[in-house]
Amino acid sequence: MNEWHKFSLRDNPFDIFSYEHDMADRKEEWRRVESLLKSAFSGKGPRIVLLLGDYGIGKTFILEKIYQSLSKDKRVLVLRGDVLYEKRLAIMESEPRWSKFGLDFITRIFDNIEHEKLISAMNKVDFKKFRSKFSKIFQALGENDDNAFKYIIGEKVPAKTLQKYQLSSPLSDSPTGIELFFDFLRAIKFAGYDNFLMLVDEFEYITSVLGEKKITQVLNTFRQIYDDFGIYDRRCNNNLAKPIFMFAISPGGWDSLRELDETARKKTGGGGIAPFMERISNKDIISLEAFSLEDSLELVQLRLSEARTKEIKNPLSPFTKKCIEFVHKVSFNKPRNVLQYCKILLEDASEEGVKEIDVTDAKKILGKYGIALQEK
Amino acid sequence: MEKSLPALKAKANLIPRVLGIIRDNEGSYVKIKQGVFDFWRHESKRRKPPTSRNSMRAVFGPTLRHLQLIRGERDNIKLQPPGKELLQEYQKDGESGYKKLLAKHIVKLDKEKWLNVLAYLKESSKRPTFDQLLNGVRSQIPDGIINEERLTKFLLYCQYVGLVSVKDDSIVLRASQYERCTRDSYRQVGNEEFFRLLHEAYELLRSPGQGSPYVPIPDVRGIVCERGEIWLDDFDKKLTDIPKETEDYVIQLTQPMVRKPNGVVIGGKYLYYIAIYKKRRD
Repeated sequence: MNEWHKFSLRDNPFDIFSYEHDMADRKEEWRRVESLLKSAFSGKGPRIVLLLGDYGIGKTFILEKIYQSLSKDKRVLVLRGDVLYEKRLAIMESEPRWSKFGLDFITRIFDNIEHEKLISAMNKVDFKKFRSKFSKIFQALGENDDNAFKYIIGEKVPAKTLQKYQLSSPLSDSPTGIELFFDFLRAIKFAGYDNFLMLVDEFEYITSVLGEKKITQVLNTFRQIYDDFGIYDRRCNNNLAKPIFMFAISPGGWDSLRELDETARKKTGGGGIAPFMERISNKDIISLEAFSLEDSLELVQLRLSEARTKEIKNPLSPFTKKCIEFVHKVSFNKPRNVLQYCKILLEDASEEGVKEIDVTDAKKILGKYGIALQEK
Repeated sequence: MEKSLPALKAKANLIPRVLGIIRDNEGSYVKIKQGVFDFWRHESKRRKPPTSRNSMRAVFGPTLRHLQLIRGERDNIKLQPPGKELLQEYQKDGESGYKKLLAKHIVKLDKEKWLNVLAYLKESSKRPTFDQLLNGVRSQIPDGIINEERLTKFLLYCQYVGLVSVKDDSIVLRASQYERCTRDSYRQVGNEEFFRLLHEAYELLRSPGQGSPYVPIPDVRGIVCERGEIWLDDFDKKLTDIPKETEDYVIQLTQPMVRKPNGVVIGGKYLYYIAIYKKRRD
């Protein structure tokens, strides 16, 4: 049993799974995030923003902070979820997983929008003025109709219900999926949202598990949405909420995409994923910098302060400054590693009755778990 | 790591001209391949003429890589600093200058990368025959990869540069030559100078306005070794040893998505990209 009170702490504050913490450092990156999103939100078309950073550098945390900061925004509908690779759809059981990425992607978008938010948005739409082949579906969503949800996430619905929605078939092909998506963007615009922000984490996933053809297929879906926006928007008198994509990706993943782009250009003279890559401006890439020692000290101090039971003279207590300097040194400048190592140190120190965790303790404890052995 | 004596298939005297072909056609593998093939077809005394396919890929390419004279693949093949130096020496002083420098290069490779055969020869009280030498090296480094063919080729290189001679079936080390070669090795640089070279190379490769700050380590290594006249392996050692954070900068080394060649292993992690950040003063 850990007795955190001995360290004047309520609990161990170094968890890496919760995002309910203040952000250490990242002031410059956050300023860029705000500025880029502001520019995207006030622009006239879709935008692709890239959040670039190594594993453990804080991409997910930043995405989560963006989500938290915009989730109450009345002009931006924000989505945060695994739109790239969640569960396979029931209607797709007999088909290869990626055969209809466009459809999969759209249904996963709907599956990931917060239920309450979707209902609330649809209830704001004036369906007397909103004309669409899917208007009955959107209306039913506002009424929290289970079958309407099933339809938009690609699950089977009874034929009679389809008739009720004035639809002839279930959602089973990519063009209909894209059409539904654009009509959804129109519906939310009616509900007052000017923008639909999609926060997509681990974008490198597609380069790590898919071949060239599949990657091209996936990226072309984004490209198609990006390009077709103008056509749909004109058709409905500029009454579409703008889709803004923010992809978080590792340097290796981004490099793989760039290599693929180069190969495709050589082979096809501009085909493959080139059209997608051209839509990402260098200006829209936010790179998350490595943590410096000062950043790591700030992070540890911040986390400790969140769990303090009383004011303490040394804000790093029970760690010594030298201990955190050591943790930082072996962390590869990654905040996730700093948090993980501090968590381990605090737990073991508590169990072993160590009152002050110095660099010697850190070497001993972390070494026990195979961390920082080369620094011994 | 298992050490081996590599198979040096190409003849030592042909190396400088192949290095010249590579330098003159840098950026085009097709031209390099054709140039090497034309040259070798003319030079080869084999009954069966060499093929275009094998000239670079199976003979000169692997030999030059074993000798650490080139780096990169296909269109990215470039001369390494030792390759450039050998070529320059050849052009300046002809075969004699080239031989002196190649001797020094072989001594260093043998000592640091291969099986230290020359040191074994030096320590041997008797002048060993070929078989005795083969068995002797085998017994000293049981895990080392060596066979008759590889040792023969290696000794032919050593003979060509004047490091060994053969007398009455015995292999003789030319001790004075060997000693001279062990001195004046490649330049060693201090941490400060290494960081300066590293930073310069990084900035050079990271073109302005480029969104991503990450640059492949092999590209940086090439420039640093070239400009700083640093031995290839010394670069990795130096990169491992230098502090990753100074008063003004943070060096970040990151992993690739898939294993890519010529990265660097630090702290048990295989790293391929480097980013250097100037510290912010908030």
